[in-house]
Amino acid sequence: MVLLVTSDNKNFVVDREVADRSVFVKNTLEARGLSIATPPMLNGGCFELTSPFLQVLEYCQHHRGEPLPTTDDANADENRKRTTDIGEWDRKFITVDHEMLFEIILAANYLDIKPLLDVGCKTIGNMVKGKSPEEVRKLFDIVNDFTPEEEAQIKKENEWAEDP
Amino acid sequence: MVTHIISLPTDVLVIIFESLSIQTLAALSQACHHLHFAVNRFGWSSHLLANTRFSPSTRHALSLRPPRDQVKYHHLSDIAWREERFVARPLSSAWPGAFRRPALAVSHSRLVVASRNLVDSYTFHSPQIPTQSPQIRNETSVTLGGGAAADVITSVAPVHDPNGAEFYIGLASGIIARTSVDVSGSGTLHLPPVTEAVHLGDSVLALSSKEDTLLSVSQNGIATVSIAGCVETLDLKTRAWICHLSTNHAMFGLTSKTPLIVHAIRPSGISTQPAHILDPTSQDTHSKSAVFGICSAPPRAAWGSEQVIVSGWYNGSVNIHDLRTSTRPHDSYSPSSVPHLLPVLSFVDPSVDPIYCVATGGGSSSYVAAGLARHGMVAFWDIRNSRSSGWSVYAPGNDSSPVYSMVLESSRLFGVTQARPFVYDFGQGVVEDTFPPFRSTRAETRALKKQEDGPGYYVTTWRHSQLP
Repeated sequence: MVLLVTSDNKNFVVDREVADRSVFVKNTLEARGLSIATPPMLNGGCFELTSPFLQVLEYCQHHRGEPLPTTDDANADENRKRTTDIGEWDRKFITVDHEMLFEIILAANYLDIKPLLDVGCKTIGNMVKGKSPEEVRKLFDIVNDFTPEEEAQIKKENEWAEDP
Repeated sequence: MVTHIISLPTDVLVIIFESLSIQTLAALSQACHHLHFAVNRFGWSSHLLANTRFSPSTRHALSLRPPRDQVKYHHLSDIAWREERFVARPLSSAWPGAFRRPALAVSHSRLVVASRNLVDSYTFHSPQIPTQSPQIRNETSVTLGGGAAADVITSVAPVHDPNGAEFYIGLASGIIARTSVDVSGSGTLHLPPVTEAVHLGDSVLALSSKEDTLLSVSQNGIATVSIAGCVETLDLKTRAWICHLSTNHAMFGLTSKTPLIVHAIRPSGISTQPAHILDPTSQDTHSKSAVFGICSAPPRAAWGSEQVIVSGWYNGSVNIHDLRTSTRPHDSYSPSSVPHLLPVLSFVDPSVDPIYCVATGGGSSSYVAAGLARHGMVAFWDIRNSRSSGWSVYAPGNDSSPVYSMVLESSRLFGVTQARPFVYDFGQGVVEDTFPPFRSTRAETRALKKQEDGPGYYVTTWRHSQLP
């Protein structure tokens, strides 16, 4: 068992196998021979921490014991990039509001949980697939900060990419 | 809102971009300044990385363009492939005399064409005007020896040296030599005293190279594998036509009851028994045939890997085998324990002419090309739509010879008939200056039929479905 402390001072006691899903936590524990780790994103104090962290823990709990992807496996990396498929459990898990989705992605990135980061990124990829610029803005609440001239110019430079 | 898409760090955006289509990347870049910057800075380049293409003749010139313009070049050439739109050009005037069996090969900086004892090399350049297509220029034309029959060059393969100037050549005398083509001055090709491998008195028929390994096969069916200069020999005991090397396999096209065999290449050397025997479709199984062309699926294509093997057969069929499948004939007639595999996909050329060579790649890395035995014709099939029939196109000049050898890049096909090398260019910005000029006789000019309003030459294209 290891103790994980978030920056808003919530303590989580989890199995080592669960904590090890995070390469960051795993390396920290191994390097220092400790049983307490403070994930770095949790030090900033600028995020609402506990709820994304609970989600991340749930993910790690579910995938405990699975082999971690190795960085030197070029083929696995290839497959990871190519497929946009997400497993059924992961798909249900990641069906959350946008803000939570971004928080989970940020947490997975900081904690170095590659499979979770991929699930989050693919989810965003699937959300924007086939959308127009206006639909993308609407989807993510993005303000169109182009002047009409800029917008026309950028539309022109991307015309070739429209599906014929 | 606390967290927003534009607050995601760059390394996360890059992962998101990796899986996006061109259309979606373009849409994201039009949403706001931040995403416009991120897509232009990271999106197009990660798309390029995730979709690498085999394109030696354009690669360097394109690499000087911004990533978005590179993606644009590839995307528009993919569309041109789909619409069967290309510029056809001869690369030189016709060689004198009739019978010859030329060969061509491409390194990352050069195209070499060997014809009898002549080697012509072409180099790849960037255009003066950036929107124009990458250029191809004549480099040198060198002659080997005195033109004796023994000096006839039968095959050529790139060495994969750093500057792309070295090639292996195989001769009718049985010699295989490693030589550099960019000789300046004398115009004579000098063979180095040390040869890579020798089939004494037995004509080399084909060469295939990969990294530091060279595979050869001779007319009498003697194969050699040279790994970092260490040579091993294998007797195939039958008439051989072609060989092809992948990372773990050596493949041979033969005249035999089992015309397409795959041997394993292990660190200890080549296997003495075939690892696989690749059969034609079940209805042809018992007919004796021959395989003249073999290649692998394009690197990093969605439909394959080096385990996917494309072969061109004497009966006009192109078979695609996947070494990972277990699609086996029910009653293997071979008494040996070597596993037989059936093709996962087959195409048949409607003219049922023998297929002399095959190549894979082209638009979206999704095409199979077959060089046919007659009329200087190349047939294309789109692997993404196996039910649609393919299309065929004649080489410029309607030469009556086979297409002997081809190299297929993502936007260009280089091919050679007994008359001359030619190119079909599916890329954007092809102008007169893209390809080397050549002088032709009046009769040849008439036969070649240059287009008046463009850089191309008239060639006849027809869809296979148009056949009655």
